[in-house]
Amino acid sequence: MIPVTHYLILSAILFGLSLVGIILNRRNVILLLVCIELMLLAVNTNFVAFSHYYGGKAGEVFVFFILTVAAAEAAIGLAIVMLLYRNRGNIDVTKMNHLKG
Amino acid sequence: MNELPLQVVFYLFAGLTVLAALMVITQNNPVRCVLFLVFAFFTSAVLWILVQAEFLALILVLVYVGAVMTLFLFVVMMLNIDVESLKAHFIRHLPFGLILVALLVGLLLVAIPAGTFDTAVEVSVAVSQAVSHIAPGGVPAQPVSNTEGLGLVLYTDYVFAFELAAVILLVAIIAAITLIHRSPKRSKQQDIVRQIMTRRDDRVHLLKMKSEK
Repeated sequence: MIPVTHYLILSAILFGLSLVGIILNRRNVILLLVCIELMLLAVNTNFVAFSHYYGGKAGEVFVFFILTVAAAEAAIGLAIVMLLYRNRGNIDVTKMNHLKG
Repeated sequence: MNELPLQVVFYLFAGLTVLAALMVITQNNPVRCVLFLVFAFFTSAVLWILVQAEFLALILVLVYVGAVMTLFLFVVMMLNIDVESLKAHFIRHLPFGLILVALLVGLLLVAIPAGTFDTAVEVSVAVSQAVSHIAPGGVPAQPVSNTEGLGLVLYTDYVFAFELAAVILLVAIIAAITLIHRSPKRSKQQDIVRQIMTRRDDRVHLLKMKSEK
């Protein structure tokens, strides 16, 4: 038998690792998007585990919608990255300071 | 239900998932990052199947890995990014990051009192299914599969959210295409802004020449 707590611990570790990934790779936009995907995976794992634990379907429906929104987010984010690369030649986050006063 | 193989599978794939996540954040090459993320998706699909979310696990593999991660790989391979400059920054922040992970997990362990969710994932479901399988007429209903159960609530209780999700996807398509699309310069229509903003010097050159006899 697998306790629910182990699923929680697993997704907490995943979430923390992806947060660290965002802190470590603060330069590359694509790596930031990848870390956000990993974060969403951790959250989805939590949802699925609890949905099964409480025997309802609401958690799984929520995961379904999170997957949908994440796909839309990835598509638009990558489109913006492409546009950025086309206009500037790099995708370094630290060089995006055009709006700085 | 057989206990031991389930536990072995869970801990094996949980470990693999954590390993894949660790590789995602430590790899320098973005292509390897995305590939390890795909690996993490596969292993967590196995974990989702263990809690009987088969449909979502398959969706994760087919749609998410098959479409979204492919999109990531396409974009990563289309842009050439210098990966050398990331190294120094990485080493400097690594201890801080690991401390942060430890803090987060520790916070979770402290925040949840011991024994709150110690019952297995399967236990509470067995009870609820025993209740839900009694139809109103008193006749035990057929047990529904995971996909069928999801569909039953998705198209009834959550139909509005379902439509909204469809609209979000449509908006995402239109936004992505509008951002990226470059129309070929075939049309001869006039550019009014350029016509107004033009100056005399752009169009007229006055030349001084000696008159000839």
